Amino acid sequence: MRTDALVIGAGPGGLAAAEALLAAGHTPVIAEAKPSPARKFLMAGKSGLNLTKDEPEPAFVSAYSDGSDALAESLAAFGPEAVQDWARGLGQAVFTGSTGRVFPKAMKASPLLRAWLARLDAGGADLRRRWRWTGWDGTAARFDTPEGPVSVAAGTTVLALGGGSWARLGSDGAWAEILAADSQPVLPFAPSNTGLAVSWSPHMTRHFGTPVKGARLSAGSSDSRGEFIVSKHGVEGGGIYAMSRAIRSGAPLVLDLAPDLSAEEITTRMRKAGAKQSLSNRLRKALKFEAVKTALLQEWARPLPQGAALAARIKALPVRHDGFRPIDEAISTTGGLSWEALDAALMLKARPGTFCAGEMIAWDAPTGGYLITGCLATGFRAGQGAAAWLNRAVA
Amino acid sequence: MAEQFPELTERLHRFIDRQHMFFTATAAQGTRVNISPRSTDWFRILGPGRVAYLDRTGSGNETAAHLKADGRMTIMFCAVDGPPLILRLYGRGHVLHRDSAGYAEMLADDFAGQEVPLGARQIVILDVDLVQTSCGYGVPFFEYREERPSMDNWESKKGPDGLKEWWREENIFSMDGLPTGIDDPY
Repeated sequence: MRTDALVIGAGPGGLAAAEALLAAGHTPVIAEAKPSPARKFLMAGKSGLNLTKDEPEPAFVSAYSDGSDALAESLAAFGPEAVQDWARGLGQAVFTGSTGRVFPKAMKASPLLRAWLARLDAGGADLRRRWRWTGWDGTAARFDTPEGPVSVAAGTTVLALGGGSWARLGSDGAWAEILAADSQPVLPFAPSNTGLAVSWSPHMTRHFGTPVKGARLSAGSSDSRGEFIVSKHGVEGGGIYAMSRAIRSGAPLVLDLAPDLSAEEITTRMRKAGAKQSLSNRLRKALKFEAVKTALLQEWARPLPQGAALAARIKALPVRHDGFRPIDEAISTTGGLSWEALDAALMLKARPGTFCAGEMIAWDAPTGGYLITGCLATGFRAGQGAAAWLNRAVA
Repeated sequence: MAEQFPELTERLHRFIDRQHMFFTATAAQGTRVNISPRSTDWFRILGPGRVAYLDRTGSGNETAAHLKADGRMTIMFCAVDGPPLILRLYGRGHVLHRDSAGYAEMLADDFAGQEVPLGARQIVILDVDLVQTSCGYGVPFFEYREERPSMDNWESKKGPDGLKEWWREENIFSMDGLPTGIDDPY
């Protein structure tokens, strides 16, 4: 078959590209390998869809790493304000939490996705489900479909094929081999925003599922006051995710269980709490430690020293972990298509007319709304580039 | 005239025992309303205010998604032979995940003596807060013949791994994009 515009991948990046193409007057065919679109997006919305972060541009853009000018320009054109306007345009009121994180009022992703798909459909976009992209025949894109192999010759193509985690939701990273075989520079995937594996002693079992609040994590030059959760397999949650990059580069992870108190203050308070009390009682009374904090201290600092040495441990407790949890559990991945492959419009230099968007490109960002905004922003930019490419061909 | 009861009576137990089919209706905010027909082969009355059915694999998994997001459910039986009657059980439902301890227990206690089908994917439990009967005059007469062999055949053709794959592909989200919980770790 023939089409003006082809978008491969119906996650937030691909759908944003389709929207940009529609806005420019082109009706794309959208090919999705799974039986339904945007599965990871829907899963991300399970406990609240964090769309973006409401903060001024310099701080917002600086949260991204391994980016490029093209990423910065994408975010300048479609940043936190634009994301919120876009959600409101889909009938989804949004609200900003105390930490600046922006959610739809409905919290879940499904109402927003439904409205978005309906709008794309009304505009004429043609969503094909169970179409798995298997590579190129010359310039035509090849698909395995329920009706057998299909070849699509498109005037322009946007690839929005996702990262390399949560394979069962569709982002299996299988595209990396196809692009590598096409001599595109592809970097190996690595987990980002992922939990750490810990081999807990049996004492920790009763704390599984408990959040650790009011602590500070640091690794290398990064630090975070974000929460984390003790789980069966280790530690996970925003505070840990924010350390991904530093841990990946080999920095040891250190936990400050009482970041608002100095070591001297801790020593004084502990002394006042009375020597006849058990340690956990003193920690609870003097430092307001919940059981989980005391358990972590016992877990990682046994045998516990006394006095000033104990205070030093509370301020800098080494987190003994066994590295990242498996990559498929990571919220996002780094690596993927190298920026070197792309021009400023996100077009593959070696395949004119083919653009790329979303998590498949090698950028990294913490959780907190940056990931979805990054996917949307590069999706719109790639779609606009594809539309400009078509218009130029017509001219 | 409709009659209402706080719970299932003896007479209604006997009525349910004679039925071969029932329907479940569910919805969540903003979704389409789902209604599904089911065989009573796997329906159980657990108490005067509690019923359950073993849910076999389907094309979709709407009921589970709606119960997770909302919880309201209505079960309907209607007589297609004998005296006319429609019976509706209103209440709130929830799903027992197939990897949960409660699921194994209930299979052993309440579904004992029947070979569990390969494609059993979860148990749906309804806590009934209202029972209502109505005349059922509008329901035509039908004669029950037998259960279709199609489901057993399909399940054995798929096999355990094929069924797991099916749940992941086809049963993980509702048609409106709500998670069904079938792939949640347990």
